[in-house]
Amino acid sequence: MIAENVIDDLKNGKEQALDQIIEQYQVSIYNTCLGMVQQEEEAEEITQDVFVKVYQNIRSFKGDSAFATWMYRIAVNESLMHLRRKKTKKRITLLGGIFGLGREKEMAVEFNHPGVAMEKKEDAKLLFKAIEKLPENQKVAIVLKNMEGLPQQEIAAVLHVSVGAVESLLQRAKQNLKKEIESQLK
Amino acid sequence: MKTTEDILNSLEAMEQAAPRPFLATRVKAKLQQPQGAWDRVITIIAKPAFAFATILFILALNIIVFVKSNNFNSTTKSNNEEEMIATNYDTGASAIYNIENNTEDEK
Repeated sequence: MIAENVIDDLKNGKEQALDQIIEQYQVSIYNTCLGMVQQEEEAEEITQDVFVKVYQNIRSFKGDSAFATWMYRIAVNESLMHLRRKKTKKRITLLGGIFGLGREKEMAVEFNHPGVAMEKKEDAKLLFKAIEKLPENQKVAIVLKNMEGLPQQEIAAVLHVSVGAVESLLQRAKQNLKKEIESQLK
Repeated sequence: MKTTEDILNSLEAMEQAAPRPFLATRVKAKLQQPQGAWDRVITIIAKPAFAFATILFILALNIIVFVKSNNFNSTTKSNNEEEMIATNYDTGASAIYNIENNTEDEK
């Protein structure tokens, strides 16, 4: 947990405070973004954007939620925005392709998480492929739970929903993942 | 043989990935970069409020065009009716003049 004086220092524009925050949260934020976008370079770019946003918007942090929760919320929003932009770009390219404007095709690359043990790599690839297809809220819940190990209360705070809603989101996500994996195994 | 459960549990005991070193330096470099004009435009366009306002504007434009075209149709219709009456009852002044002229010629 970050000390309150560090947040105050950041509010006063002290760059040392930013260093401290980056040092403490970079791994959590990077892993959240990585789980969401499943691409290392993009995740790092988003992680940088998250800290830029934290620095620029720290005055709007009133302390209603934990600082970490606020940062996770920014990370989740930035990742979702990135995925939406990517989807729109893909649609435009596809549309351009129909009219013969763009010829390049994006190759579907399987995500290989660097932290997964060697013997589980193939299984994890299938799981990430299934996670990618989940609806946004379910994806956020499963990434925060499975990759970050956040408790349901904190996931609820990040998503601005009740703990019960998170529970049902996780349940539906697991059902969808099961279905998707079964269809991949067939 | 892979089972669904094995795959679902494949992230257990997973280690966290780390970003490349000197992240703080790259963040600070980004903070000093001036935001480009296109970035600002994209930020505004990407806002849901902008999309909603655009939809409302297009809807309003459609309504205005629809109402105006309806008014134009009714004006054209009444003009056509007037012309029809004029033709049917031969109310054109030139026609009466012509009739008079014709009768004088006959004399």
